[in-house]
Amino acid sequence: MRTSVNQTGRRKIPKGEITIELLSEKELMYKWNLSDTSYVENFEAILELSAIGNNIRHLVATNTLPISGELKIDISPFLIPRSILGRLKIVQIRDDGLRVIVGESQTLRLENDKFEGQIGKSLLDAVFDPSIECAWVLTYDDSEPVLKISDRFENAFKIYSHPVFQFTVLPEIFRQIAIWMLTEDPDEGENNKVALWWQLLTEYGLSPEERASFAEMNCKTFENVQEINARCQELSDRFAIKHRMLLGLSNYLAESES
Amino acid sequence: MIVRKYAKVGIFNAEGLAKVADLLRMPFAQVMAGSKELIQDKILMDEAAAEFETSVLLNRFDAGKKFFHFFNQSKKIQLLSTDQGLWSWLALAYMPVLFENAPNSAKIGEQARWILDTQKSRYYRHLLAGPYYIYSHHYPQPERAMSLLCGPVMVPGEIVGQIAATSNIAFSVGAEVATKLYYDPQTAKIRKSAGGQGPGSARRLSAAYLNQIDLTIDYRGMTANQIISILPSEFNKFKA
Repeated sequence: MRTSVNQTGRRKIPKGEITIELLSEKELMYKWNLSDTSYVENFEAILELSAIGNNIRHLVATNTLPISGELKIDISPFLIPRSILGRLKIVQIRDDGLRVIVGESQTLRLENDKFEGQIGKSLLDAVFDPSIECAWVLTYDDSEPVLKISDRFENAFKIYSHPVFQFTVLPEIFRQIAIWMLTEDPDEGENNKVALWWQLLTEYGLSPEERASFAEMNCKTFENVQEINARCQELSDRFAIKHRMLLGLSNYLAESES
Repeated sequence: MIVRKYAKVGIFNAEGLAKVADLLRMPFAQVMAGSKELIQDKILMDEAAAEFETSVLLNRFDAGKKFFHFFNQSKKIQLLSTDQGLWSWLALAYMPVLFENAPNSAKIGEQARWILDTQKSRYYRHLLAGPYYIYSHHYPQPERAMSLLCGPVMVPGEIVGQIAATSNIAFSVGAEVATKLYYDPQTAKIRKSAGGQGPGSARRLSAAYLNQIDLTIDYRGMTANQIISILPSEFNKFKA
């Protein structure tokens, strides 16, 4: 299992103490309210903003870290501002020029990150993509699951909000994500959504001990794959039962037939 | 040589993009014929006034430079520099020229080469937008990213796949590190052994080194020479 314990001395800046928010296509608001500002001397606080086509570094403090504040940042060079991700790094500069990270935030996501063509901010982002040939597919870009939905045919994009899709496909999506989680063991410290997915799997019965044992498992043997698959099916079934998928589908069919 | 001049460019709508995706699954001859029709079908696109010509692209650097100037011709066009419909139209308009100047073995290949995929780890696969984004980010010194721009447009090369797939490397000093290690200015080509999985390869640089030290070292704040000086010995054969 990939450890979440930081063994290099880096301090994690707690979730929620830093936020980034789009003000417009050209400006971003960076806000911070830090519980710990006691870093060694000779450091820089760098806010890195990255998106497709751009990676910009913004020096937000040197040697003294203000406890709280806000700062407007020019993002006009960004080609796709709505895909910006951020990361605050506290960097100690050594005499030999090496820049050692002594503190950092987890990946910062825009507070208002609704993309054009997307369905909104949720645990699972959905993206319309005319290039996929099946109705939907899960991808794992940027270390988190993303649901791609075809809109290549007229009305195809409507499947996402259709009850039949929700009742029949969501459990399968949940199962596939569970398989990805148990085989890849993504680190919750690197991505807030991954942390929420782990939380969700725990709610449906996955214990920390089970997670550890699956993470150590060799996924190349057929027996192990079967075991992971079976456990994920159980988790998915619980998800479907809790959300009354069968009842919902049955009601929908009854309504549409009447 | 098939050079065409346009006073307007097309921006495929959703139906247009679906047609392009369908077309790209056809045999080569049909794709070539069909692309000419699609880029003229007004039902499948919006149009924007912009001067554009399909002149020969010597390599990815040339492509990046050409589209850098293309998008700088007006603010309206600049706002479309990430538009999937525009890039797909541009790629189809360029298709005859690209194939005319490519090796016989060149293929249509995957859709992402022609229809821009705006996922962070796939955008670079677009034959025209990929070099443009790299060139544009590193401007006014795009030659620092020559390792990602020296190859032919139709065959970007393995280094591009390894480095450009990680945008934190491609759009930072990481591209310059790759250039210093793997680009030979004498031949204007990538050095031997830079591809593959061997010691010191681009794959090792991105996956096994830069992506790993990114957790503890702020390498994007260092110079390319500083980074190269701390690379492990497996990279020695590429250090100048």
